[in-house]
Amino acid sequence: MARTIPIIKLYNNLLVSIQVDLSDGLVAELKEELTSEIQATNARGLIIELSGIDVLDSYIARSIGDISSIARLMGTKTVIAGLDPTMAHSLVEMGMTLEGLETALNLESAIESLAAGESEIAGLEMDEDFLLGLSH
Amino acid sequence: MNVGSEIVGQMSRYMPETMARGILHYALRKNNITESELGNELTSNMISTLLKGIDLFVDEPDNCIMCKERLLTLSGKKAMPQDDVAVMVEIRHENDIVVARNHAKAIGESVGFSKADQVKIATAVSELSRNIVRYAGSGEIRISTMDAVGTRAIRIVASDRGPGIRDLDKIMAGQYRSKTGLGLGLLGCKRLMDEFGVETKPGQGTKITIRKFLEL
Repeated sequence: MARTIPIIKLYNNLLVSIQVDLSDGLVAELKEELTSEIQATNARGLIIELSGIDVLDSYIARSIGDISSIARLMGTKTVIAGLDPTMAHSLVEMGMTLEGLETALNLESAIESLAAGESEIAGLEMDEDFLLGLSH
Repeated sequence: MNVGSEIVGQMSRYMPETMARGILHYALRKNNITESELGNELTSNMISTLLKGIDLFVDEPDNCIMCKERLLTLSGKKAMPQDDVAVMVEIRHENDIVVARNHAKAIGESVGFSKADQVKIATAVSELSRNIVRYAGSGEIRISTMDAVGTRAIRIVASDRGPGIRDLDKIMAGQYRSKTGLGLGLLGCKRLMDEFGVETKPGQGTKITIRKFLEL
């Protein structure tokens, strides 16, 4: 079956850009497909780009939080990009702050943020090697 | 008279007839029906694709607002006497949530609400219609606008014949969180709107009325 929301692989990251009205069924479908795609591609990062959607209600927001938590358990970092300011307002007013979710203004900064995360990890590994080297 | 030519007739007051016809055909194609299958009444899906069509094809947004209101009145066979424009969306399936919130947004726009308020109204409607699907199985969302001196308002009434809401006080005090998120949805809905009222009886159903005002 063709995917309603395409999942694109970009270097080590997966990218979904949501450009359709999100029904509950579609959100559930996306959750499942992203999980299996993360497993199949071993992606380090996941970018969910939301500039094309009109409404982000509590269910959709919570589902995106769920996707991010599942991804984290699988070793993948999620960044939400392109959240419209009107929707950000609406979410905050409702009392949903999307805590624990990393966000970026747009796709470019999301990619930069994931790239920075990668180099931090690389840096950390180097430090460990260095420390190990010292102890020997 | 066929509702198709009625639609074209109404829209032609605001745009060239060829464009009106084009938008009708666009909406028919999107809904996978022919003009003869249109029958005598407009479905909510048909209305929302027509509104979308206007957004896509018409250049002057000012003309759009009046034209959209015309279309909404056309579908207003269930119009409420005290209100200007009314749309009723039957909520039976989760896809109806999307239909209801798109209507709310379009009507909010036609009233003159800011983009931010349109999003809030649509979000509130999304929460209410989801509660209907989840907890009552089916129900309806009625959206109407009110026009008074110095102020305009949008009113949404969500009603169902479901099990009713227990622990309403706790929910509204923010002391209750269900796994499914009913608490946050209702509370969020209240925070997003200017007025929020609930009538609920165990075993008989729930009626929630919300309003948002636009100062002129």
